[in-house]
Amino acid sequence: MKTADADAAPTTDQSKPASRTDIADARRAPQPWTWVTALLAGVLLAQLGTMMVRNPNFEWDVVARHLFDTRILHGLLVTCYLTVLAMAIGVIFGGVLAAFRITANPVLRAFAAGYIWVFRGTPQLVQLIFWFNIALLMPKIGIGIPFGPVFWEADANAVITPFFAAVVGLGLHEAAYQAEIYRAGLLAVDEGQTDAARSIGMKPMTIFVKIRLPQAMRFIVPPTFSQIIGMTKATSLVSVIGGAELLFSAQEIFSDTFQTIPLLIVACIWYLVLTTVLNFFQYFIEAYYAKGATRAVPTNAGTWIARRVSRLRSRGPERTEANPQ
Amino acid sequence: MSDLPLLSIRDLHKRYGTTEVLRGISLDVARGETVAVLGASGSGKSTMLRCVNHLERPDSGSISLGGELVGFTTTRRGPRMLTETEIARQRSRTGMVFQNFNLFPHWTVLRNVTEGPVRVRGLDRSEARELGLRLLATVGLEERASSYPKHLSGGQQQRVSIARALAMDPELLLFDEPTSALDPANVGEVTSVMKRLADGGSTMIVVTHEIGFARAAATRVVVIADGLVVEDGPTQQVLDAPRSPVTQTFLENTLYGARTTGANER
Repeated sequence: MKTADADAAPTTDQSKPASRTDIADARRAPQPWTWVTALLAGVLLAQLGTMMVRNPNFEWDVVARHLFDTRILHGLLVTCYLTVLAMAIGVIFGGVLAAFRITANPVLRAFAAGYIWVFRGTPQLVQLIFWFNIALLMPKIGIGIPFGPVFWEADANAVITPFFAAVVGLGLHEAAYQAEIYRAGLLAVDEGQTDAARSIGMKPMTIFVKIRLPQAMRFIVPPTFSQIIGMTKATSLVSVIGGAELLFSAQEIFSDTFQTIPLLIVACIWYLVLTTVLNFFQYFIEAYYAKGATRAVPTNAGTWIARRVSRLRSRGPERTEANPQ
Repeated sequence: MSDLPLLSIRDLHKRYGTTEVLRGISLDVARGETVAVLGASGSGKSTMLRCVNHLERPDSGSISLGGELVGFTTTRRGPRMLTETEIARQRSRTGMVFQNFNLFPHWTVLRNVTEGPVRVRGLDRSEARELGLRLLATVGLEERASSYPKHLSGGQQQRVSIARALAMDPELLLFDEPTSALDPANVGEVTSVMKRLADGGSTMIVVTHEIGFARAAATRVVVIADGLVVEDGPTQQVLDAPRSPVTQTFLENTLYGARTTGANER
């Protein structure tokens, strides 16, 4: 073992024979199919690219001209409002429904189950049209005591604008889905948590708010974000009842100019912008709630950008060990 | 008054579907006693323990704690079930330590201990903090007060959960196989805390497989098999001269296992 040379020529000589077995320098396993598929994808992509440039029916100049058209931007704004308001109704009312489903009160449980059955079991589009036409069912809408005096009353046709019908219709439909998301999240929390909370004398409401809900958030937030993305796209259904959102604005323009394809492309670009921004936020929120979990956050354009942004930030001067908190 | 047992279980029955888990268990525990409950897996000992703080509702029989019926109240029209809120008040009189610790993962160690005193006993935050730190010190973990449970070893987590139970100042401590989920190397640190509690005069029921702990700390040993108490007596008598053949077989099997794995208690 101990020779005179050992001191003089230390690491290099010893590491050379070792490199045959040390896996640190190992090459990757050959992956020929990656190259084959890359080649195929390249050809297809090139073909698609040429088609998009060469085919005059795309009318890219029209796309460019209408991308920032005030009518389109107004529609975009309405789409954002609709998404936010309908999601707010869905998240809040869905939470109430989920709480109803797990109470000991059988009346509330039955109400929530029945609600979810109806609102999840019928198409969103049908519900939207239904709310828009509610005046046919109830010409007058009022607030008062059931079977008693009425304090305020209005003509249903005046109250139910397309925007109002859209928010209510999309929101109530969403609430049914959110209720199920909450329920699944609550079920995913270990029952031992409830046992422990009970064993120290916590009341049911405290256990729900302080123990179960905070731990269920990990399971609730990611699917809720998917729902927001879904909602952004679902607002396009509102065009059917004449709500002036993004798709409706595009339709309004192309019904005059017959430039159908370029205006649909304009709408798609904006939908993609919105959903990409949402994906971007989803990355951070999932990373926050996945603390301690080893599950990777999936990649798409939004998360790709987000990952790079978070890497840039961590390269800043105050680089510290990740806070275990 | 002091002659009355703290806990009195009478003819307790419980079934899950068609399986009869408890078939008429009766047991009295006096203040200051440490009762080790032994028995094979599935014998009903954990279910019995969970009935004591009403995590499970028994089908028939009764449990009373300090003369008060657990989970029920007697009215002129016969017994009535208590509401969850009423039961919560009763549960605050007992403390429980679980096999899988069941610490609250989203809270620090200290908050795991203090939240019960604050929310249930109505202590203010600073009092609860003081109490929490003192209890963590008694289980040897005050320097981990601001850690999160997942950064602690199993033995440390179980000691925190003992502190959490103690923070409610319970009249009766329930231990549901507190060392079964631990590495053999971590068992001793938990049983030594429990031994200290037993020596300090706490009233404890300990469902366990640790015969060594039972011998060292228990004043009494109860053996349960197939939902019935088959043996109940002073520790030494039950462990050294068991009367029931069920106990004899159980002890032989368990001791043999303990010897071969080398997990021995002093």
